[in-house]
Amino acid sequence: MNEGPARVAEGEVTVGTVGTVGLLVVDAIGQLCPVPVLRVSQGIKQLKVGDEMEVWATDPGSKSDIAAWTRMTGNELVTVSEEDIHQEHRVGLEADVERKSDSSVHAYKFRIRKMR
Amino acid sequence: MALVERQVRNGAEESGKRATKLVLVVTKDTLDQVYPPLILATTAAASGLEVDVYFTFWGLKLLDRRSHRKTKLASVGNPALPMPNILGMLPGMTAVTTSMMQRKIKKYWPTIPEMMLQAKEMGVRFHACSPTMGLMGIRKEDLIPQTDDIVGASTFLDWATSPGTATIFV
Repeated sequence: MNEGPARVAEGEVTVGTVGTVGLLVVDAIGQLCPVPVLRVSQGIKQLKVGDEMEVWATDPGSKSDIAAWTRMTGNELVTVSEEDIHQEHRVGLEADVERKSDSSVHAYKFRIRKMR
Repeated sequence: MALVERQVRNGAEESGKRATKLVLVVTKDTLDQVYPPLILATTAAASGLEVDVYFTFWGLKLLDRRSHRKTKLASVGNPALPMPNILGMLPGMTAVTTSMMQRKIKKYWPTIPEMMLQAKEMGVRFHACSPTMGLMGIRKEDLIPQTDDIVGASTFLDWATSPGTATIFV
Protein backbone atom coordinates (compact mmCIF):
# COMPACT_ATOMS: atom_id res chain seq x y z
CA MET A 1 0.00 0.00 0.00
CA ASN A 2 2.89 2.41 -0.51
CA GLU A 3 1.99 3.04 -4.11
CA GLY A 4 -0.99 4.60 -5.81
CA PRO A 5 -3.54 6.98 -4.42
CA ALA A 6 -4.50 7.26 -0.76
CA ARG A 7 -7.63 5.60 0.64
CA VAL A 8 -10.76 7.51 -0.03
CA ALA A 9 -13.96 8.28 1.84
CA GLU A 10 -16.64 5.65 1.93
CA GLY A 11 -18.34 5.03 -1.38
CA GLU A 12 -15.96 7.24 -3.28
CA VAL A 13 -13.47 6.10 -5.82
CA THR A 14 -10.34 7.71 -7.13
CA VAL A 15 -8.36 7.07 -10.24
CA GLY A 16 -4.60 7.38 -10.13
CA THR A 17 -1.78 5.74 -11.99
CA VAL A 18 0.86 3.18 -11.11
CA GLY A 19 3.52 3.18 -13.77
CA THR A 20 1.55 3.24 -17.00
CA VAL A 21 -1.67 1.59 -15.85
CA GLY A 22 -4.61 3.39 -14.27
CA LEU A 23 -5.47 2.39 -10.73
CA LEU A 24 -8.89 2.85 -9.23
CA VAL A 25 -9.37 2.47 -5.49
CA VAL A 26 -12.80 1.28 -4.38
CA ASP A 27 -13.73 1.31 -0.70
CA ALA A 28 -16.53 -1.06 0.31
CA ILE A 29 -15.46 -1.47 3.92
CA GLY A 30 -18.42 -2.02 6.24
CA GLN A 31 -20.78 -2.67 3.32
CA LEU A 32 -22.78 -5.85 2.86
CA CYS A 33 -23.49 -7.85 -0.27
CA PRO A 34 -24.40 -6.75 -2.92
CA VAL A 35 -22.84 -3.31 -2.40
CA PRO A 36 -19.15 -4.30 -2.83
CA VAL A 37 -19.82 -6.07 -6.14
CA LEU A 38 -22.05 -3.25 -7.39
CA ARG A 39 -19.30 -0.73 -6.62
CA VAL A 40 -16.76 -2.89 -8.43
CA SER A 41 -18.98 -3.14 -11.49
CA GLN A 42 -19.60 0.63 -11.50
CA GLY A 43 -15.91 1.32 -10.99
CA ILE A 44 -14.66 -0.89 -13.79
CA LYS A 45 -16.65 1.15 -16.31
CA GLN A 46 -14.32 4.07 -15.61
CA LEU A 47 -11.26 2.04 -16.56
CA LYS A 48 -9.56 1.11 -19.82
CA VAL A 49 -8.58 -2.47 -20.65
CA GLY A 50 -5.37 -3.27 -18.76
CA ASP A 51 -6.12 -0.79 -15.96
CA GLU A 52 -6.39 -2.11 -12.43
CA MET A 53 -8.65 -1.69 -9.48
CA GLU A 54 -7.90 -2.07 -5.79
CA VAL A 55 -10.94 -3.01 -3.75
CA TRP A 56 -11.29 -3.03 0.03
CA ALA A 57 -14.15 -4.94 1.67
CA THR A 58 -15.02 -6.48 5.03
CA ASP A 59 -18.10 -8.57 4.14
CA PRO A 60 -16.82 -12.15 4.56
CA GLY A 61 -18.81 -13.17 1.47
CA SER A 62 -16.91 -10.69 -0.67
CA LYS A 63 -13.89 -12.98 -0.86
CA SER A 64 -15.87 -15.55 -2.81
CA ASP A 65 -18.24 -13.01 -4.43
CA ILE A 66 -15.64 -10.79 -6.06
CA ALA A 67 -13.80 -13.84 -7.40
CA ALA A 68 -17.11 -15.11 -8.83
CA TRP A 69 -17.82 -11.70 -10.36
CA THR A 70 -14.46 -11.66 -12.15
CA ARG A 71 -15.14 -15.16 -13.54
CA MET A 72 -18.58 -14.15 -14.80
CA THR A 73 -17.44 -10.90 -16.38
CA GLY A 74 -14.15 -12.17 -17.81
CA ASN A 75 -11.93 -9.86 -15.79
CA GLU A 76 -8.84 -10.96 -13.91
CA LEU A 77 -8.52 -11.26 -10.16
CA VAL A 78 -4.81 -10.59 -9.81
CA THR A 79 -4.39 -10.92 -6.04
CA VAL A 80 -6.44 -11.26 -2.88
CA SER A 81 -4.92 -10.51 0.49
CA GLU A 82 -6.20 -10.02 3.99
CA GLU A 83 -5.15 -7.20 6.23
CA ASP A 84 -6.04 -5.86 9.63
CA ILE A 85 -6.78 -2.21 9.18
CA HIS A 86 -6.30 0.07 12.16
CA GLN A 87 -8.84 2.52 13.44
CA GLU A 88 -7.07 5.55 12.02
CA HIS A 89 -7.00 4.00 8.56
CA ARG A 90 -10.59 2.92 8.61
CA VAL A 91 -12.84 5.04 6.51
CA GLY A 92 -16.59 4.79 6.23
CA LEU A 93 -17.11 2.01 8.71
CA GLU A 94 -20.66 1.32 9.69
CA ALA A 95 -21.66 1.41 13.34
CA ASP A 96 -21.93 -2.38 13.65
CA VAL A 97 -18.41 -2.98 12.44
CA GLU A 98 -17.03 -0.34 14.73
CA ARG A 99 -18.70 -1.82 17.75
CA LYS A 100 -17.13 -5.21 17.17
CA SER A 101 -13.58 -4.04 17.45
CA ASP A 102 -11.97 -1.11 19.19
CA SER A 103 -8.71 -1.10 17.32
CA SER A 104 -8.73 -2.94 14.03
CA VAL A 105 -10.92 -4.67 11.51
CA HIS A 106 -10.16 -7.57 9.21
CA ALA A 107 -10.42 -6.54 5.59
CA TYR A 108 -9.95 -8.14 2.19
CA LYS A 109 -7.92 -6.36 -0.42
CA PHE A 110 -8.52 -7.34 -4.05
CA ARG A 111 -6.56 -6.39 -7.10
CA ILE A 112 -8.59 -6.69 -10.29
CA ARG A 113 -7.40 -6.13 -13.85
CA LYS A 114 -9.87 -5.03 -16.50
CA MET A 115 -9.59 -7.53 -19.36
CA ARG A 116 -12.45 -6.58 -21.65
CA MET B 1 -14.40 -21.86 2.10
CA ALA B 2 -12.45 -23.54 -0.66
CA LEU B 3 -15.37 -25.91 -1.11
CA VAL B 4 -17.67 -23.11 -2.24
CA GLU B 5 -15.24 -21.95 -4.90
CA ARG B 6 -14.72 -25.48 -6.12
CA GLN B 7 -18.43 -26.13 -6.42
CA VAL B 8 -18.96 -22.93 -8.36
CA ARG B 9 -16.15 -23.78 -10.75
CA ASN B 10 -17.30 -27.36 -11.28
CA GLY B 11 -20.87 -26.22 -11.91
CA ALA B 12 -19.72 -23.91 -14.69
CA GLU B 13 -17.51 -26.55 -16.25
CA GLU B 14 -20.09 -29.33 -16.20
CA SER B 15 -22.80 -27.40 -17.99
CA GLY B 16 -20.27 -26.23 -20.57
CA LYS B 17 -21.84 -22.86 -21.04
CA ARG B 18 -23.02 -20.47 -18.39
CA ALA B 19 -26.51 -18.99 -18.47
CA THR B 20 -26.54 -15.42 -19.79
CA LYS B 21 -30.08 -14.58 -18.77
CA LEU B 22 -31.80 -14.56 -15.40
CA VAL B 23 -35.54 -14.58 -14.85
CA LEU B 24 -36.81 -13.79 -11.36
CA VAL B 25 -40.37 -14.24 -10.15
CA VAL B 26 -41.46 -12.04 -7.23
CA THR B 27 -44.71 -13.22 -5.65
CA LYS B 28 -44.62 -11.47 -2.27
CA ASP B 29 -44.49 -7.90 -1.03
CA THR B 30 -42.72 -8.11 2.32
CA LEU B 31 -39.23 -6.80 3.10
CA ASP B 32 -37.80 -10.29 3.60
CA GLN B 33 -39.17 -11.52 0.28
CA VAL B 34 -38.35 -8.48 -1.84
CA TYR B 35 -34.76 -7.61 -0.92
CA PRO B 36 -33.34 -11.02 -1.95
CA PRO B 37 -34.65 -10.94 -5.54
CA LEU B 38 -33.69 -7.26 -5.92
CA ILE B 39 -30.19 -8.03 -4.67
CA LEU B 40 -29.94 -10.88 -7.17
CA ALA B 41 -31.32 -8.71 -9.98
CA THR B 42 -28.84 -5.87 -9.45
CA THR B 43 -25.90 -8.22 -8.91
CA ALA B 44 -26.81 -10.23 -12.01
CA ALA B 45 -27.00 -7.05 -14.10
CA ALA B 46 -23.62 -6.01 -12.64
CA SER B 47 -22.25 -9.40 -13.72
CA GLY B 48 -23.31 -9.00 -17.33
CA LEU B 49 -26.52 -11.03 -17.26
CA GLU B 50 -29.73 -9.97 -18.96
CA VAL B 51 -32.37 -9.78 -16.23
CA ASP B 52 -36.16 -9.98 -16.37
CA VAL B 53 -38.23 -9.68 -13.21
CA TYR B 54 -41.82 -10.93 -13.30
CA PHE B 55 -44.01 -9.40 -10.58
CA THR B 56 -47.05 -11.50 -9.75
CA PHE B 57 -49.62 -11.76 -6.96
CA TRP B 58 -48.56 -9.63 -3.97
CA GLY B 59 -45.30 -8.96 -5.74
CA LEU B 60 -47.22 -6.83 -8.25
CA LYS B 61 -47.84 -4.28 -5.48
CA LEU B 62 -44.23 -3.21 -6.08
CA LEU B 63 -45.19 -2.01 -9.56
CA ASP B 64 -48.40 -0.33 -8.35
CA ARG B 65 -47.67 3.35 -7.69
CA ARG B 66 -50.16 3.32 -4.78
CA SER B 67 -48.31 0.60 -2.85
CA HIS B 68 -44.84 0.93 -4.42
CA ARG B 69 -43.36 2.55 -1.29
CA LYS B 70 -45.28 0.56 1.29
CA THR B 71 -43.54 -2.79 1.56
CA LYS B 72 -43.84 -4.08 5.13
CA LEU B 73 -42.48 -6.82 7.32
CA ALA B 74 -45.17 -9.19 8.58
CA SER B 75 -45.39 -9.47 12.36
CA VAL B 76 -47.88 -12.35 12.19
CA GLY B 77 -46.75 -15.82 11.18
CA ASN B 78 -43.08 -14.91 11.42
CA PRO B 79 -41.55 -16.97 14.24
CA ALA B 80 -38.06 -15.67 13.41
CA LEU B 81 -38.86 -12.25 14.92
CA PRO B 82 -37.16 -11.59 18.26
CA MET B 83 -40.41 -11.42 20.26
CA PRO B 84 -43.15 -13.78 21.46
CA ASN B 85 -45.17 -14.77 18.40
CA ILE B 86 -48.53 -13.94 20.01
CA LEU B 87 -47.57 -10.24 20.20
CA GLY B 88 -47.56 -10.12 16.42
CA MET B 89 -51.36 -10.04 16.52
CA LEU B 90 -51.52 -6.76 18.44
CA PRO B 91 -52.78 -3.75 16.49
CA GLY B 92 -49.93 -1.69 15.05
CA MET B 93 -47.41 -4.50 15.41
CA THR B 94 -46.71 -4.75 11.67
CA ALA B 95 -45.76 -1.05 11.66
CA VAL B 96 -43.41 -1.63 14.59
CA THR B 97 -41.60 -4.63 13.09
CA THR B 98 -41.44 -2.87 9.71
CA SER B 99 -39.83 0.30 11.04
CA MET B 100 -37.40 -1.69 13.21
CA MET B 101 -36.27 -3.69 10.20
CA GLN B 102 -36.13 -0.63 7.94
CA ARG B 103 -33.86 1.17 10.41
CA LYS B 104 -31.49 -1.79 10.42
CA ILE B 105 -31.55 -2.16 6.63
CA LYS B 106 -30.98 1.56 6.01
CA LYS B 107 -27.41 1.26 7.27
CA TYR B 108 -26.45 -1.07 4.46
CA TRP B 109 -28.87 -1.04 1.57
CA PRO B 110 -30.92 1.45 -0.40
CA THR B 111 -34.70 1.45 0.13
CA ILE B 112 -36.75 -0.87 -2.07
CA PRO B 113 -37.92 1.93 -4.44
CA GLU B 114 -34.31 3.16 -4.70
CA MET B 115 -33.04 -0.33 -5.42
CA MET B 116 -35.69 -0.80 -8.10
CA LEU B 117 -34.57 2.43 -9.79
CA GLN B 118 -30.95 1.32 -9.55
CA ALA B 119 -31.90 -2.01 -11.17
CA LYS B 120 -33.68 -0.18 -14.01
CA GLU B 121 -30.65 2.01 -14.63
CA MET B 122 -28.60 -1.19 -14.92
CA GLY B 123 -30.92 -2.50 -17.62
CA VAL B 124 -33.14 -4.85 -15.58
CA ARG B 125 -36.62 -5.22 -17.11
CA PHE B 126 -39.81 -5.20 -14.99
CA HIS B 127 -42.88 -7.11 -16.10
CA ALA B 128 -46.39 -6.94 -14.63
CA CYS B 129 -48.46 -10.13 -14.44
CA SER B 130 -51.66 -9.60 -16.43
CA PRO B 131 -53.97 -12.02 -14.54
CA THR B 132 -52.91 -10.48 -11.21
CA MET B 133 -53.91 -7.06 -12.56
CA GLY B 134 -57.37 -8.37 -13.35
CA LEU B 135 -57.66 -10.18 -10.05
CA MET B 136 -56.61 -7.23 -7.91
CA GLY B 137 -58.20 -4.50 -9.98
CA ILE B 138 -54.91 -2.86 -10.88
CA ARG B 139 -55.14 -0.78 -14.06
CA LYS B 140 -52.42 0.05 -16.54
CA GLU B 141 -52.42 3.66 -15.29
CA ASP B 142 -51.66 2.44 -11.76
CA LEU B 143 -48.30 0.98 -12.76
CA ILE B 144 -45.07 2.86 -12.09
CA PRO B 145 -43.40 4.17 -15.27
CA GLN B 146 -40.51 1.74 -14.79
CA THR B 147 -42.81 -1.13 -15.79
CA ASP B 148 -41.72 -2.45 -19.18
CA ASP B 149 -44.84 -4.38 -20.11
CA ILE B 150 -47.82 -6.48 -19.03
CA VAL B 151 -47.53 -10.18 -19.81
CA GLY B 152 -48.99 -13.55 -18.84
CA ALA B 153 -47.83 -17.07 -18.09
CA SER B 154 -46.98 -18.07 -21.67
CA THR B 155 -44.67 -15.13 -22.19
CA PHE B 156 -42.99 -15.88 -18.88
CA LEU B 157 -42.55 -19.55 -19.83
CA ASP B 158 -41.16 -18.52 -23.20
CA TRP B 159 -38.37 -16.62 -21.40
CA ALA B 160 -37.90 -19.23 -18.68
CA THR B 161 -37.39 -22.06 -21.18
CA SER B 162 -35.22 -20.23 -23.68
CA PRO B 163 -31.61 -21.49 -23.88
CA GLY B 164 -29.06 -20.03 -21.50
CA THR B 165 -31.63 -18.89 -18.96
CA ALA B 166 -31.76 -19.48 -15.21
CA THR B 167 -35.05 -18.94 -13.38
CA ILE B 168 -35.58 -18.25 -9.69
CA PHE B 169 -38.98 -18.16 -8.02
CA VAL B 170 -39.28 -16.14 -4.82
